[in-house]
Amino acid sequence: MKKVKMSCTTCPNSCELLATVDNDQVVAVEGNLCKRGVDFAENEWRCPVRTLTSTMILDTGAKAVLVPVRSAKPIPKAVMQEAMAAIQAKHLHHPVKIGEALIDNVAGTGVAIVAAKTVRM
Amino acid sequence: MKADNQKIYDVIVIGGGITGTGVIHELAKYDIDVALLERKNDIGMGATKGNGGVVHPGYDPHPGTLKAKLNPRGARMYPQLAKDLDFNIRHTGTLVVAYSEKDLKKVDELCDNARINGVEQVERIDAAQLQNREPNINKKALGALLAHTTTMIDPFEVAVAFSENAIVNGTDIFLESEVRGISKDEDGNFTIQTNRDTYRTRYIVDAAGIYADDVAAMAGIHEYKIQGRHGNLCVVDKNLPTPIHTVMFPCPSPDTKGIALIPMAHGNYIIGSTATMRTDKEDTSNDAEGIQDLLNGAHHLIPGFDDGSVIRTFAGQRPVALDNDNDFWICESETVPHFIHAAGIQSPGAASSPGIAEYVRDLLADAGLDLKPRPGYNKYRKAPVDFSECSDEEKDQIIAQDPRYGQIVCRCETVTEGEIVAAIHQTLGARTVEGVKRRTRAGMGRCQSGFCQFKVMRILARELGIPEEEVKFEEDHSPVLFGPVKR
Amino acid sequence: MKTYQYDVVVVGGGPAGLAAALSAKKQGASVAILERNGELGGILEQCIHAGFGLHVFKEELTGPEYAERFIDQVADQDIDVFLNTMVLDITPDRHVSAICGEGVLHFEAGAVILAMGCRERTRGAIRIPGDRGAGVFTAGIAQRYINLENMKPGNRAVILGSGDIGLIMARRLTLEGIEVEGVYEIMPYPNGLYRNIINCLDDFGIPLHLSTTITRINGKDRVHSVEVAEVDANRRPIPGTEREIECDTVLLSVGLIPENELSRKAGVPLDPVTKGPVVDENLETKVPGIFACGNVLHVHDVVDYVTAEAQEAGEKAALYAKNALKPAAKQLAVKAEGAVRYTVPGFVDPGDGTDKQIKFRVGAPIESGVTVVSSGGQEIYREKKAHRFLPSNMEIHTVACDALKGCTAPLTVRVEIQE
Repeated sequence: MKKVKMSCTTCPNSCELLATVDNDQVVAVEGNLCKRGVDFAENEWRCPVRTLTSTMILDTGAKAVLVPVRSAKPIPKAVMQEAMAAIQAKHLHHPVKIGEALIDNVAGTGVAIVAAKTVRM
Repeated sequence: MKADNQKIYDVIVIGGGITGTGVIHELAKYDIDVALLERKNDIGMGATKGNGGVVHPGYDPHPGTLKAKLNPRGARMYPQLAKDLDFNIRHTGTLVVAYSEKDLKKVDELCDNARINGVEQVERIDAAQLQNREPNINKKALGALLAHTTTMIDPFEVAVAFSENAIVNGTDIFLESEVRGISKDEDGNFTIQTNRDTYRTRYIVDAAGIYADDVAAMAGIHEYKIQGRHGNLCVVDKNLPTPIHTVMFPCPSPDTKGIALIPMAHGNYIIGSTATMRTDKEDTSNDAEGIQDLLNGAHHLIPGFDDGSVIRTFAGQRPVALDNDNDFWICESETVPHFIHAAGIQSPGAASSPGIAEYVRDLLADAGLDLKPRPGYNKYRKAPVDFSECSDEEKDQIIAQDPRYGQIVCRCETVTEGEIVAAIHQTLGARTVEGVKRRTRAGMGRCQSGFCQFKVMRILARELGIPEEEVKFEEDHSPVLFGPVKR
Repeated sequence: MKTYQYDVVVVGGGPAGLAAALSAKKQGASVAILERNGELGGILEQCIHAGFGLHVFKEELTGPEYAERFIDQVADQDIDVFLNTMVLDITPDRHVSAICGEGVLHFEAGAVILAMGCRERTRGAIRIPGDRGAGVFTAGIAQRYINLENMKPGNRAVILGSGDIGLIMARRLTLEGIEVEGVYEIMPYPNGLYRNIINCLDDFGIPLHLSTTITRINGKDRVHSVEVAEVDANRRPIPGTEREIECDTVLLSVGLIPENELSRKAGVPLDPVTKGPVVDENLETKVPGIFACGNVLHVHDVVDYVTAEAQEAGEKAALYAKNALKPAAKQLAVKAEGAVRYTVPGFVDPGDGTDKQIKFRVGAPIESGVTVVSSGGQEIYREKKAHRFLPSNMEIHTVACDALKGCTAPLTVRVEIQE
């Protein structure tokens, strides 16, 4: 059994967490102001995940427009660069609606990259 | 513009600062061929842009010097020039503030100077009069010199106005043309080699500022030496909590007028400037000590001065002719005839410029140049629209003609897209982000282009027909951007 | 010249303006939003990172997503939106003049809501010496170039200041292949939210150098290096600690300043600390009928709080326009004390039977403390649970109306340090 310090990044409260890890499992969390702190600690120990945001090119004929995009859910930190490369490689050619999936399964995570804004041409 | 290699100019002016452009403006009145060579991509890039813009009336220079003669002469010419050439001028007056009996003696001395130099409306006022005129001034002040006729100009704007009027009257201006060599031909004419082209001329006026001695040396002239007097300056927000209306100096020392607080032509203030001699002519960086000296100087004049109101700091170098008692160096070369020095134009260079131009004209005439009036000479120049100064009716009219005037680009200074486009396409148009700023004030306000730079970049790229990554900030190798993030 | 009349004119179509307009509309007011840009959303459009909406929508949204939810609501309502319209003047009697591509527009407003947001502090404001070449950007303009303009502001950056935009940009630059050498902060503590330090710096191995600042920028044409130095307790550079760092770009994230040029023209008195208008609990400025909310009032940490504040301002402005806003019977000043730098509001009416929300920030971190509000030496509010106070976080506390009854002396707000 060991104690691991971490800072929750779920919200601006930034609670300083003390997670008790036993057998590679988080068994207790202290210092959190809410339940999300427990989820965060478990994820952060097992496989830290983050929401990835970037932009994707939309070819309009004239000057290219950038569409803000995000991962629909947090994805593992370890695949960030791979996901970025997939976003960079993709060009859009049609108007997009907010929430529309632009890459279905980014970097094998099963998570979609979606438009974060409605863009009309 | 492209040079005509066969042409022999009557006069070539080297250097496009307020001195050189003042000279071409003056010479444009006469039926002669004149050109100006400027090494930078814009005019006014030396001491002209690193300047407070005070048109000192001329109480300061020692009687008998060239300064004493040309400063009052130039200052008296400005109000009419401002009308003819449509540049901004603001009447402020100057105070030279005395804090001690010794200072008051100095004030009396300056009053005497003024009389000898022929400067009118200069008087000594007492502490009560001073407080009454400037309620925020240091309560320890015992009195001051008050020079009523001081005006404020933007020296860069004046240099543009001089240049544009000269161009309309047939003067050629060659930018990005750095003089590399000067030779005198058998026929008595000069050949000037630049990085781009070769020019021939009968007379040369060397107004190359900090490099004037180096240019003269190319013609084999070693009659004087120039060094830079470096000065830090601060630009202060228009909303200074302790506003002032009059240019304020402390009592001067032999080398400098001291650190002044200056209400500028467009409503900002300047604190300027420190004065230290430099050997590196290119060094216009500023330094923490200098900035602190400026703030101390401002507090000395206005004890409640708010340091947080400073929006920008910069520095300039003023060309000083060494071993010349701080005077200008304006004369025909003793060794090379027809080569006129217009050098060592330190403070009050901007104020003296029109006077210097006439003096140079007379030197050229004395050296044999025939000056007949130019037929069809146009003495006027129209400034581009200053939208923020227009009435609602005028604004409506202008926008109806060109909706781009309805789009504010710079919110701090209320500069429209229409004005920026006009600044790029005016006779001597802007080519760089800083060039746009100097002409329109876009980016000169308190946000310092934080909100408008990307718009200015876009407009410059579009109007110049180049990609944004080729738009220059100021100097030749000064890209702002490095191409698309995503391709 | 066209003239319009509205119950409520909202100046600015960012998060504050959008929420204020919707809230005023809900009260039945006729509402116009005047926005200088070509679309609504304000700065949120370039804030493509996630972290918005946790309070308002209970989910984590990106800036454009957060904005779009409000923009959609505005589109569904009968609210007039004037885009590419720049307000040039506001008079104390609520005459608003603006220009757009069609000419000069005049608005007669029953109430005006100031929602112009804030701007970034610049190199000039912090007076960094050195050369003046290209390559020095505020973090916000770099964000604009990268996220909206598709333009690279540089290849190797040093970031001065650990404000939130600077931290977020450190991550953005890194993700887009622009190297970030490090973040330098003159204070001994970071200025941005802690979670941004973890998510934006730690995740990418970008060092944060505290008590260190840029002492000189080198490069006449384009930045080629900066000199950094450690600073002492008085924030003065320590001789001998200077080192030169090669970079072609400097990003500044050194603070935000409410943008109150129009407020000034309207004669609205400003607080010297917040640089925003002095307001009462209705978010009404000292000029009757002119209200303020969002970052033009005081710089917020989280947009959700901007929304909440703007909703309040919108409601009160609509009531004012319909002569339904009860004037305060008496107003007590709310004063910041000790570590508390300022309070919003600056005034409250103690006897009107409503709870009072008080917002403030501290000037330096406090490891553990509680917020205490007093009136004439009498404690009227004490926070129950001790916690950490950071300058980067805005504190919001509610004082119950019962506690205020009978208060005649100004309220003071302080943080009591707990061992």
